[in-house]
Amino acid sequence: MAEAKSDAPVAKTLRQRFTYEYGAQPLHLIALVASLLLSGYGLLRIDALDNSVRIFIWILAGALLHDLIALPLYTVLLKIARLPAAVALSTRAAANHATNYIRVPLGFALLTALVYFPLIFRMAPDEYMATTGRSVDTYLGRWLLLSGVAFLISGIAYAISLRKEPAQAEPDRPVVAADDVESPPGLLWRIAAKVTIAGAALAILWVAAALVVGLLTTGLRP
Amino acid sequence: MSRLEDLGDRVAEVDDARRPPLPDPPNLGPFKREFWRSPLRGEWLTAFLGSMMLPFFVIAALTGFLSHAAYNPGLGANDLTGGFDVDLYFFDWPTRPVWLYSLTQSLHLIAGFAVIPILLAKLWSVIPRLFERPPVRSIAHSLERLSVLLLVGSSIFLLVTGVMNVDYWLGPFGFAFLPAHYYAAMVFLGALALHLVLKLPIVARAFRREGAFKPLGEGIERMRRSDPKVDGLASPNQSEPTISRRGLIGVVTGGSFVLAVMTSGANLLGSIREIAFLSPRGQTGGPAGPGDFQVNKTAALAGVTREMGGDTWRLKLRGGERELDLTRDSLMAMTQYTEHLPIACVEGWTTWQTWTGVRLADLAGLVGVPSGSVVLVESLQAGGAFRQATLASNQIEDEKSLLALQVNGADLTLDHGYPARIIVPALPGVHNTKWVSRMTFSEA
Repeated sequence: MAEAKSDAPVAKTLRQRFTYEYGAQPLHLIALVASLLLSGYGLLRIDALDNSVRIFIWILAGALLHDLIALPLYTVLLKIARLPAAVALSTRAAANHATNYIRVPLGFALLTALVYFPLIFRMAPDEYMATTGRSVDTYLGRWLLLSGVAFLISGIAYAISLRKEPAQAEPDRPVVAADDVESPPGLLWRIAAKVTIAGAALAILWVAAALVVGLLTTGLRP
Repeated sequence: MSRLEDLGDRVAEVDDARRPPLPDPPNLGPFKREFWRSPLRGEWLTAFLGSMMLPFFVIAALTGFLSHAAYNPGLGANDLTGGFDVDLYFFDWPTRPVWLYSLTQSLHLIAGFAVIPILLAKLWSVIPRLFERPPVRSIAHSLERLSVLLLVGSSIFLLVTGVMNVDYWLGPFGFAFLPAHYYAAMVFLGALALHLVLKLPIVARAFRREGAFKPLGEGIERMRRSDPKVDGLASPNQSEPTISRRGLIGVVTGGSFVLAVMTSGANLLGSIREIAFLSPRGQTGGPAGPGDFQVNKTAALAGVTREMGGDTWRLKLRGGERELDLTRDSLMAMTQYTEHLPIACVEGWTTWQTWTGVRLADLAGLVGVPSGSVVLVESLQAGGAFRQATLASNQIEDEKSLLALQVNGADLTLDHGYPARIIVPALPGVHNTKWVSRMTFSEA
């Protein structure tokens, strides 16, 4: 903000007083108000719905349940997953290496359980039957099977990995310096764009592939 | 100086602001910066996970609003969101391509499921921020934290309600899914827009400092440490890593991919439903025959019996002054057309079947209504939001739009809408009313 310094003295003090009292430049407040207007509209419309208090509680509870209960819980679970490897293996590097072959399939089982637990643990078997005309009982077996396969694949991968060179015990770790990567002006836009484009490309590629296969196998039938 | 850096300067907090007179939490446990020890945490990891999520959220938001438009909320009682003050939906939902709604709704579900593991990892990467000291540095900081609370709360709310809705377990919530999901999306988008403005400069800074993709080339042996002096998310007390940043992103991407594959199995890939292994609509099999495909709400749930559609059943056609009561036999005596069309549900599953019946346009012709009319279709079903739906004129006039009497060469089964059901190309599944009892044409 080199230009701002050459402004008239009154404007300068006003702006400085504002930033001191508010904590950021005026653009911050403008962006914040614009954002709160849209969010606030959504909140007002929710307020007009039936049982709106429950909706507000769930919006708050979702954040709190995740941050204060779910996150510590799975962190501890994934730490416990290290115990068998730490007990069985003598060096820390070997234990670390083995741990991931337990943690990854465990994480996979937890993720699928998180997303599909009402089916797996039969939270609403009657609703499922009434809506789809089928029984929900199959899902527990399916989940156990899929998780079992994940652990099996992981076990095989671990056995294969043991045939390679063991990991170096405690490698030197360089710290990222503030100016690690030189950048000409304008590069920031390009790198921010690059990652977004890479993510979008992956998503679009998968969906395009699914669409083509789906239409070829079903939609284009005469 | 790039424009992004310039933006960063304009929206960044200033150091010498007035601090609200609030006591600090004790410098203990999670409030202590040294408590958080993972060497993976840092601005690069958060920036990369955030960038990964963005396309999914954009797809989910766009297809979500498109889904609302597909219900033609301007017609009859179609709008279930409690009425939109400003009608943003200025176009009639098209009927071509016939798989349009299947595509948009599949994208919505795939994007929503795929983002779950990425969001979990992203929230893990910034959890130390929840316990930052001081909790409030300035007015700007407090408002920003409020907005982050809205962002986290609404994003979790959207994903949880969306997932529970397709898992058929909304009992514990005690509110209507549709309007809550719809307006929570607006809360989310408002908070997300601010988040992007405030964080893009930090994303750019992290990518410039560490290289946008460079850490993806570093296995656990060569992984660099983030410097807590310049990186607000890096731990000053880092432990030895047990997985690399590359490894974490690989695991997250893998989880995301598995959920996307399973979701698309019941959607776009309706023919390979077996890969939707854990999805609620991944079950195949059941009673073999022409009626063996996915049912949305059984006749038992809708309270419709075989007798209601028996010999006494009449299709009550109404249009202007004219009223016609048609038996099923007289409908069967009209010219029959056969179309291969999908039912695409808002819950994100699709099933393609071959339907036979009379054209809606022919029924409109019977009561002689002018072109441009709309039709209110009512079901034998006694209650429920979807016992009726209003169809637009382009949907009535489309040559593929049928009042179906048969599917796959046999009479409809009771669960699939016997004695007659609507099937219209690109129409959301629930608007293809089953057990039709009355059709009332009127000028729009």
